Amino acid sequence: MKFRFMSIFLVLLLSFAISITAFGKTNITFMVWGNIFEIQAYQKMVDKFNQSQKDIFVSLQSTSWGAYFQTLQNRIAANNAPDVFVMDGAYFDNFAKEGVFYNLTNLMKSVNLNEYYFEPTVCEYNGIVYGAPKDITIGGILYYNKNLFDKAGLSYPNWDWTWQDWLDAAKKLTNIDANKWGMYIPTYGEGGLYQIIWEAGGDILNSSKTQFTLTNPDTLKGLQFMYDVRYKYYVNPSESYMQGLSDPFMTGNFGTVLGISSSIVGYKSLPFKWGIAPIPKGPAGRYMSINQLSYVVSAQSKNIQADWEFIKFLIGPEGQKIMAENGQAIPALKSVVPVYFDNFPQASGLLDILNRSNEDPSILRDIPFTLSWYEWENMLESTLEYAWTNTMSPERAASIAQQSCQKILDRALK
Amino acid sequence: MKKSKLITLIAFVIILIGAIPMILPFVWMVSTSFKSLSDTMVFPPDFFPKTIRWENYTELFSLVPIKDWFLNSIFLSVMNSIGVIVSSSLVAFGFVALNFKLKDFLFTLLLVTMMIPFEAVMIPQYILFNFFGWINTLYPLWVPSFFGAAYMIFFVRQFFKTISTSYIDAAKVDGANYWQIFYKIFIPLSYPVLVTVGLLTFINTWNYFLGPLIYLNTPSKMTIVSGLSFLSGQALGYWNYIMAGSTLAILPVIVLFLIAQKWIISGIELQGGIK
Amino acid sequence: MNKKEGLFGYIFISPWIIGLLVFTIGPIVFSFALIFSSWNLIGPLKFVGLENIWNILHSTFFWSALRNTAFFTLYVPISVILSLIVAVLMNRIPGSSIFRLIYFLPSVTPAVANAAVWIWLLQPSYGVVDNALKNWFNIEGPGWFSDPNLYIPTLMMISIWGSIGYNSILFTAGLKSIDKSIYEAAYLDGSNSISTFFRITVPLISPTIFFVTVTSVIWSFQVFDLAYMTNNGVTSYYNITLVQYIYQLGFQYFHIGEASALAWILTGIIFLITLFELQAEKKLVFYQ
Repeated sequence: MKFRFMSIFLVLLLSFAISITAFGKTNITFMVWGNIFEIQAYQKMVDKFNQSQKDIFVSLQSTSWGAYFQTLQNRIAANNAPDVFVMDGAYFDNFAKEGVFYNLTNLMKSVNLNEYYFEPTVCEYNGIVYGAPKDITIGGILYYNKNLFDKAGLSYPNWDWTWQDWLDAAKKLTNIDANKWGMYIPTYGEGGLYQIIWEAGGDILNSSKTQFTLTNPDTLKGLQFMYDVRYKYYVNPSESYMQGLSDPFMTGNFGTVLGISSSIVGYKSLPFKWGIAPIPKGPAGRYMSINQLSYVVSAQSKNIQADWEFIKFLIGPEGQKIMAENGQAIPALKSVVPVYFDNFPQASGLLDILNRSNEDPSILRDIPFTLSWYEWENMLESTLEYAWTNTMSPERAASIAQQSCQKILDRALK
Repeated sequence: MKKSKLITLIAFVIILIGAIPMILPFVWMVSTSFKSLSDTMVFPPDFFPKTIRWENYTELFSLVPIKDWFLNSIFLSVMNSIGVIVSSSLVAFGFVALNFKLKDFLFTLLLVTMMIPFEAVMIPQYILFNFFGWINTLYPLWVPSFFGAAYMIFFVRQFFKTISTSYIDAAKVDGANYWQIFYKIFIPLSYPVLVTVGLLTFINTWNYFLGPLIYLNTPSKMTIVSGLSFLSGQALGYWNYIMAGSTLAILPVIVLFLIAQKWIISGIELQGGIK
Repeated sequence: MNKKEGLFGYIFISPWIIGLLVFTIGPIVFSFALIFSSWNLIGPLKFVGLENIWNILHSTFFWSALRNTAFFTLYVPISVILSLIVAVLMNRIPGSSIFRLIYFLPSVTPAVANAAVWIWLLQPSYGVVDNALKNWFNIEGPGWFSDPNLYIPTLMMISIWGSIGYNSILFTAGLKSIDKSIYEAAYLDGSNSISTFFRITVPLISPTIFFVTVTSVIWSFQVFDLAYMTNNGVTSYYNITLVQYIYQLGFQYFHIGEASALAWILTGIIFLITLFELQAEKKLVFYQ
């Protein structure tokens, strides 16, 4: 009893002490999503910032990925939005259009964007800057299982590989009876669909992002390739086979898998050796995607100056370094990028891709985010699924997707 | 006599066969809780771990504030059970034993509140709780239970309706007031039902996933079931830890179920003593 | 009815009335107003008349979702009958308390574990069921979750599996409230088990049957978690359900007004079915 009384007393004293230190300071809230490790990394950044500040105190608020946007919408509606929060491209345009974000254009002028990977699709809307670059994700990179390659006596994928080399290797790696597959091309946009279409010479949208170009002959060539690896060459399993497989590469049953760079963190302790290569070159060249998350300020915030101080820390060398050291994401600040790869020697192939993209930026393309992106992306994936389950030809599925996606976009742009 | 033994045997076999699919996810959960992370990814999946990994449990305690989560879960489940038992039995009694003008209308309204999908009222409800200053506190997750849960009111009403009106009339003749009729006749007679209400409310609260994630802003304030979602991210789920946590989370529920079941089944004998 | 009794009636139900006024009515009215509005979360509601309803009625997803959900609801009677049989059988076998627990487990094991096991059973290439079909009957197993004709029946099967334990606990509580002397009287009359079941058990437990049916229908129209787990959130015409569509419209596509309109259309449908059930209650449910 005495002990309990003492502990309550101590807790009260402690919280009193904390509120004293926070008293007289400008309090701002910072909301993120993440798993426990990501949240720990954010907490380190926040603590470091709070130690360095006399007048600002940041409190970290977090929720898990599945509930983040629902919670955010609730808070915005209740006029209780966090001051600073993390955004992704899927919803960025819609939120920006509704006036959720504070206009950062003038404040961002003090930042030298040449030092950053900066994606206008996730930081700008209608030419106004609303977001500061947090990190980058490269999509359409080729993860390969070295054990399977060694066993088949094949040399590892490299910058000379074309679709044909990929296919040849995949045929040798595939052994359906043993559940071994030569390749897997994901059917969602960022994971492989967009990049294959680009490499075939096609595109998802026209350059002004107003018209879908899914039935364009070059786009169809890309879709046909994804169909053929499944149902002509049988080197990539059908989609019904993939049911329940959240990450095929981790199973160790796949020789090569296209994917996004954020998966690396889960591959650290895989029981087989692996590497990363660029996507093999297609008929129209080599294209991967670059995407990022951004830090934004709520339009409802009352302490813009404090918010901006905090964002400057987050995107500055100190904040970026903490994020990179914790291995949760590749920083957007170019000079800090190597720090991330110290953690992941096996991912050095990706560093190579980033270095090459500095010489030839054309190999990294933007994700075609638009208003209502999430709605048409869902429609695109579920319609093309008819082709991936072999219930429809790719042409037929693409023409249905073209119409349905166009309808969604037209309405959004109206 | 022989025939009834045969029927019992057949019944036993049917129930036994049915039990196999019922227990599978539980076995899966426990078995996954002993796998290494890479074993959870093996394809086709193995039902049992290659090697038993006890560390999942010890590491879980250092990874996440699981003790806080348990305390929060216990607090919320106990408060909700008390709140729902008390309020639902009172309200159900009002709907069954007493006559008043708007009774049928209000009962239909009660049913309607169950029909509106949660998704439709979630944002306005959040705005309301924000107005009360209840965000990032546990209040939104237990206070409403003291004002009756429609589902449980309906459930209790169904039993109260089977209680013969002759009891009420006899009690009235003896000079009992409504309050006495409620707690001296209705409550003892529906003992198994009220235990069931408490049990199901406890379990529903224990398993309530979305609410804590929406109303609370800090991992340490979560309940055990929603807290475990912090072990799964966009790219990767730590299924071995999640299942170890889920196994721990399910144990109190199993113990409670076995205790409550005893009360539910022995209910009739208890009420026999009262009559 | 006298005045004093009426007053006491309101006093007894007052907790619910207060809760209704404080917590429920406001959000319900707000959500109802959203049917006729366009809202961007920040500004005031903009009146748009019947546009949201018009858009919903002209969406092919709505009609698919309605058809899928209505079809799905047919699992309820099967589940109710099986649950009642299980509850009755449990009463006469040894070890029933352990079996009740086992049957209840699907309601408390995490949804991801449930989904993982069903995928393990039904996956087309390594699934236990499809392998058995292949080895024993030489039948090529179907894609239970990917075949448009099988998706909803598969969901129904999983829902029956998941609800039997929960429902039979409700029935057990009901069965335990039946006076044993009634059974003894029937036994003395020479009634056998089957006729006792239909003549005594079913009528006496009919209030619980009514309750389980009404609430299960409401829940079945609101199916979400199970659908979301088995289609990974990517919806097509054959696997979308009404509440999943509401969730997408409201929280993923930013058509909050349309989401509300759909939610209220759904509420209206459930309401009509429940009115029908309340009529049936008067004829079929036996209260002492």
